[in-house]
Amino acid sequence: MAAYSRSTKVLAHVLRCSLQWYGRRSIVSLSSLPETHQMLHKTCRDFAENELKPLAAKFDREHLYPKEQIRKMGELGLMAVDVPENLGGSGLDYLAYSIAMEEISRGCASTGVIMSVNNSLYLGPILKFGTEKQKETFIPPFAAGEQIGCFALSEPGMQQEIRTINSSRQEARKRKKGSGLMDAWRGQSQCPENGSVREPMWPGGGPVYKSCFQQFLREPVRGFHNLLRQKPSSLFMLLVWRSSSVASLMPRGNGSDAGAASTVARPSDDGWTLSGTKSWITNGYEAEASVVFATTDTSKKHKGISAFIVPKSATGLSLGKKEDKLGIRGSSTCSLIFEDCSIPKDNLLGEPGLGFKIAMMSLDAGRIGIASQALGIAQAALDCAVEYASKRNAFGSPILKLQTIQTKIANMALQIESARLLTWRAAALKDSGKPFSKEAAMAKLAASEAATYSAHQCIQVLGGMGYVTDMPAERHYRDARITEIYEGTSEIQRLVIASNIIKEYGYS
Amino acid sequence: MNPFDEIAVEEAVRLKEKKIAQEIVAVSCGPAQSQETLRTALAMGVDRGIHVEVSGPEYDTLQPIHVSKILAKLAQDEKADIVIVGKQAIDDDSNQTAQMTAALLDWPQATFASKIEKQNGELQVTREIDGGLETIKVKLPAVVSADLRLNEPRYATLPNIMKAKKKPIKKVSPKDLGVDTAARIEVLSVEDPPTRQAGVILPDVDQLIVKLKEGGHVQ
Repeated sequence: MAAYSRSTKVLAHVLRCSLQWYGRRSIVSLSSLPETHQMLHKTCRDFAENELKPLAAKFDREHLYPKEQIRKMGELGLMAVDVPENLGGSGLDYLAYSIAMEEISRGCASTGVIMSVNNSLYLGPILKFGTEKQKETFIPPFAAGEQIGCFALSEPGMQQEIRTINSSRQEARKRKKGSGLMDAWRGQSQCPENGSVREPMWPGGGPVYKSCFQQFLREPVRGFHNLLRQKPSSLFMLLVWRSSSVASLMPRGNGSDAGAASTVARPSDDGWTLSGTKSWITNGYEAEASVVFATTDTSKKHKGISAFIVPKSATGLSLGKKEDKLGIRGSSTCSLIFEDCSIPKDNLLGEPGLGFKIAMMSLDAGRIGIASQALGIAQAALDCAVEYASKRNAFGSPILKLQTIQTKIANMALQIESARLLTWRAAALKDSGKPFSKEAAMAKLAASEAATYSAHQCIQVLGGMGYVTDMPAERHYRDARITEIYEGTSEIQRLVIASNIIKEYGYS
Repeated sequence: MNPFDEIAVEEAVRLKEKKIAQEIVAVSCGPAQSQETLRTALAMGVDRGIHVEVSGPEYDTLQPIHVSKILAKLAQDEKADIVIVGKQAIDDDSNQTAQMTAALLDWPQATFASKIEKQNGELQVTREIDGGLETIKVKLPAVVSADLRLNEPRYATLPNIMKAKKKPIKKVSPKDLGVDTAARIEVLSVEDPPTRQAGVILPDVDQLIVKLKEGGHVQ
């Protein structure tokens, strides 16, 4: 129950030894992988070809969650690849997970992301930081494919306001021109609303209407909209001067700025109470539990964030609307809204204040999963392009014979192969217990850029056929785009790589 | 793995799940790569494997008669009740192994099986024949060969792939089994079928009859 059985320990030792040997020899191709990984590759490939590929277009078109396929993947053991067998997982390593993710995503990218979030972002932190009781409650039901989990780190920030501003702008345009707020004030020396005189708010400042600022205090949303219409210099001065009050008015939130969590968790009589909103949560609609990051101590900034396991059934938890996305439409993305959501004391994951570290370590591992997903999409795009080019005749022969097409294919294959080697290396480093942040960031960056490039060129090779829904090229194009954004934007990956390199050189 | 053998392994695993079979042993004759095939079979649910090592020039001349003798000897050694194989191999399309094994063992055979049921200690097998479906009863022990529509082979699940590593594979050689693998058949030549000649378009039926008579196709 608590300790791993002896056979699992022996097996893990054998796998570690074999993988270290392979790590030294550097895994460069499928045939140099251990036998288990080759068998796993075959299983995943066959499953993706037979069960996912025929239905991927339907999942995308109808925004369908692939419930039956996820259940079958759970039976195959794909929803908990690196979870030990005594907790219901498959007991394999991250290289196996990477290979499985690539093949599944090659069939259907939405299914791939559902599998990735469950494996790396939900089961990962609980496996690494959970107590025995938490592991037993929250891992086995989620390893079998019947229930899935999600990961709640990102927050709305200004997104809700920007969505409101955009809709109010549209409404203003619909009204007669010249009746909007700024239209009335343009070219006036006195504010038409209350007759205040146009004067600077601070010495040397630009022209900002006093009433405009007062309105900002009364109605932050509309006022902010009007502030944006001011001259940039005056706006900047205003923000600098009134930074304390303005900053407290602007909702704090985080995407890349993960240390600025504004969801709070207060201790209560029987546990914790969470308040706040989390946005962009993959699997939000179908997940039965979530790993949520909330601030327990605002004074400590990012060292005051803690991680919690929140079951879907907790009171005070509600879901926002399902996002209508460009790609990966088979997986649901929504907001999690916590309104005095109460959870038991035992649901704190790790130590208070350890949340940021848990998030970063989980995302490091998740990057290998997303890199593999991007590789799968890129490979599917390359396969589609080559197959089409072999059949499409132009200038007297298949277009595969033309040099420009061959250049595209070579570039696509080069990017995919480089990204695959980076991904496998990052996975092998993780499996042997060595630090792998830099390699994982490189893998995710290379793979996501390979995916967007390959999907783009795939449409180009297919020409007009690439633009229509009859061929999967347009779906690969839409699915590839998100890989450069979630689980660490490409920009953040570059920062991670640079900071690691700078440390290696000895500067910091 | 030969697709028909995959179907045979799947049927064996299903018989074990229905408690009709107690233990399944997979056998593969060939070079070291046969071990991978055996591991796949183990990952599908087979209990143990026997690898009959045949490699190099000996493997190039391995024919169904040798495989049948090996399978017959192993079936006797292991005291098997059912020998289930794929109906034919996809490299030589011989469709001989099941029939020859049954003859060597003097066991009844049920070939091209598309359904297998156990009734009163005997097997009731539905066979796919040219004219349709034939249902026969065979006494155990028997040899069965699997046809395409017998079942849909399962995927090797990850936990089973991990379990397969612990299952034993015994290595033997044809000499241990007393089988002489000297070639009985000599391949004289292998040729492509003749390239198809272009046809001739004729204006009417009378011309067709003239041409057919000229070519000697009709009298």
